[in-house]
Amino acid sequence: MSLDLTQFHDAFFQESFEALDAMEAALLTLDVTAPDPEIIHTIFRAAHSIKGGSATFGFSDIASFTHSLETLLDEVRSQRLTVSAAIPDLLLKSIDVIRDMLRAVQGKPPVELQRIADLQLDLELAIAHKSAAPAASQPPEQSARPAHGAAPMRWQISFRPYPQFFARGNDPLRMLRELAALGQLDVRTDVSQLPTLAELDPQACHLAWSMELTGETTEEAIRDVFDWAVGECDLDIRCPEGVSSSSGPSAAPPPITSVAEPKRTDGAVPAAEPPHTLERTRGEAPSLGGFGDSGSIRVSVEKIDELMNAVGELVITQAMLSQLGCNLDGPAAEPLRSGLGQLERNMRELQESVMRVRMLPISFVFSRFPRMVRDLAQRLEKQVVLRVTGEHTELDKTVLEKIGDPLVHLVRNSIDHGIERPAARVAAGKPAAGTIHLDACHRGGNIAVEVSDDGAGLDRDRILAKARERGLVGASDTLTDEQALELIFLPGFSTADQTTDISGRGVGMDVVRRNIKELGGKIEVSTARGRGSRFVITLPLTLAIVDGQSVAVGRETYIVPLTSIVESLQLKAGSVNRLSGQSEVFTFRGHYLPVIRLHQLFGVEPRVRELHEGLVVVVEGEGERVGLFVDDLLGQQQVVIKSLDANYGHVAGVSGATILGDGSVALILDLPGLIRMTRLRAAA
Amino acid sequence: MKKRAQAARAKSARRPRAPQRPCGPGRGVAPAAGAGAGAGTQVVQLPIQCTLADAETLKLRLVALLKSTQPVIVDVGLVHRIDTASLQLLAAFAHERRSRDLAFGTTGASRVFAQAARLLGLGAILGA
Repeated sequence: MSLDLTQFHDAFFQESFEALDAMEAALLTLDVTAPDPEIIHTIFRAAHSIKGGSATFGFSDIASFTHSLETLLDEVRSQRLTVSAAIPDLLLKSIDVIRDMLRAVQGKPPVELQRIADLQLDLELAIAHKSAAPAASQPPEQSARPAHGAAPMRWQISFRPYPQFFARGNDPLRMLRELAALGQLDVRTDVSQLPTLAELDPQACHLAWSMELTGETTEEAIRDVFDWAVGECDLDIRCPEGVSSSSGPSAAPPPITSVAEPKRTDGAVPAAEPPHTLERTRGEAPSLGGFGDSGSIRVSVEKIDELMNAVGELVITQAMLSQLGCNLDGPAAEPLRSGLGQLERNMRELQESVMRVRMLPISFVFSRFPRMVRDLAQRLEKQVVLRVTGEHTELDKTVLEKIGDPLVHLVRNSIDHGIERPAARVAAGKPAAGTIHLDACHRGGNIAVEVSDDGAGLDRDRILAKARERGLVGASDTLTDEQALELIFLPGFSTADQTTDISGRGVGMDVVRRNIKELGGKIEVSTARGRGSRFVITLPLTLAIVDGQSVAVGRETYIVPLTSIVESLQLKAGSVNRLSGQSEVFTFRGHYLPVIRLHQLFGVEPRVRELHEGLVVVVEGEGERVGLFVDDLLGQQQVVIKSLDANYGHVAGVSGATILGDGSVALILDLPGLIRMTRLRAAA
Repeated sequence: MKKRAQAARAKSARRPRAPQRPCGPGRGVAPAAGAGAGAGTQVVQLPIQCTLADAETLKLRLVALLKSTQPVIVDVGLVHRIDTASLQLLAAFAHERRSRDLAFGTTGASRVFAQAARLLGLGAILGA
């Protein structure tokens, strides 16, 4: 029965993308003047992992390309190739290509074959033009590497790859080369399993080796050589005796390099090799590399969401029990309430624990910026230093996924418009290299993400001039600094003289603000001319639970997200004006705000109809403020959001629902949607 | 823009139009002409790169010459990269030729080939 490898595809893609991210991050820290062998090794391991996986799953193009990349890295690793400034560029481009090839396999747009061929040729050329002196110019028998500090030992190694060894991206030659670097290596090759040429499967390994390695090395170092072959071979490593450095000739290993008789098609299979130490059974799933196996397990987001939902249900049930408990009398009531109190505390802990499972460090988003900053700075001929702090700050996965694009936009803007060219900076008395600072931290129940730079800052006069030119601001209008800066968030607004593919089309900041608002967050900007700008994004920690104000309209309860509420007030009779006989407006801090009667919008029979008898909740959404007319305010509470889209269908003006303590359903208001809805009705 | 287009054309001119395939079916086998090869000797020219991706092609070339009564010489002079899969094929070919009393030898100086063959313990059988 053949193993269905497609079931491992998702894991392979996920691990490969992580491996590519790891390669990219390592490359960006590589100092070409003194390359750290550990960094090179990290990159090599990642490339090898992808190559092995690709070969296993039959993605031969990726395996072939990664093989070239791996060969280059192997040359660098063994110091046969000197790292020049061009090498990191080449490697970064290769990472991009592999990433695109993987995406193409996933069904995304295909990669241009010529691009792959070009880059593969560049890799081959780099390998061919290696300039360093050949480190392996000595025959392996004489090659020796000093010491790990251990006494010289004579190691007996039996290495029998399984037939699929090559197909999994492994090459015994590389392993033997690494062994030869650990000491004096004598090799005996077993070709007894080699079939006739006609019957030989070129993709299968039929050779095996018995080796004797003498040197000051350890079993761990030898096992490291076969690290990537675990589960793909039989390996036995023994050390029958230690060999002192003063050993006489009798202790010297006999130089053996011989070939046994090959297997004939009609012949019996020769005796088996010495006992094997099988490190993993043959039937196991292919190893996808070492990423993510450090004391953690991979769990699909769906499973976590299911867990989260179950906890949400428990919270609701617990709230119902608490409400029932409050209404009970009698001798058992007090102990019951005490028990329910304990249940509530435990539930809160459970809820927080599950929430933490969904939390990921913001470094998942920040990690894309070193590469982006490097590439953009190079392209724009600017010098930019990226400083990242608070990358371990955790936030909900959903928030994390949605914050990436707005941050990319802000950082691109900073490089394109904020940071000046080196000459201009020096002339302004600043260092030639500008600094972009990315920071994240917890503030109360929120997370604050900050993008700041020490560039030219936002030019208030230029912003105003552009706004006047486009008729967004009247010629005689005077704006405060705060109001002037708000203009950059208007749709289509841009002060860029030239539109580039980086920024300047004016399709950015309004989208940034809208995305952040959709996450229940806000963005603030501050700037100092010539000293830089600072954008602070404040986001809720999670989208699964919202802090809400419950309001009553008739017999219904609605939840208004607390982050949207500006103020709640009771209007005086006669303080409301009617416009065009339809819209109602009231004055709030010098501005006229429209009134949205929720009972009219949702077709609910209200308890009060006169505005001065009920309450108005002033809320903000879509950059506008409106007053929501409700019967009463009920209280503030954290509510678990249930998706209406998934469980029922889209309802305009509603972002979700929650179940209250008494088991009833309350709708959570989507204020931007509500405002859009009202605007449409007014226009109709 | 014009400069960029020219550069792109120049770049594309030095590029192959498809992914590299150093070994092509039927390529590199020629009647012997030089260096120690007598008349009728078949010379198999190994390409710069002999890897797993090209092993099937190499096998076809070798199988075609397996029973040739003419001496077969494998020219390794160009080999810049070789892996175990290719050396395994050559070892099987060499062994089978010799067991049939048919001549086999290698020619050309390739440090890469010699080192790889010796390291894998195939130096004797491949004459490296």
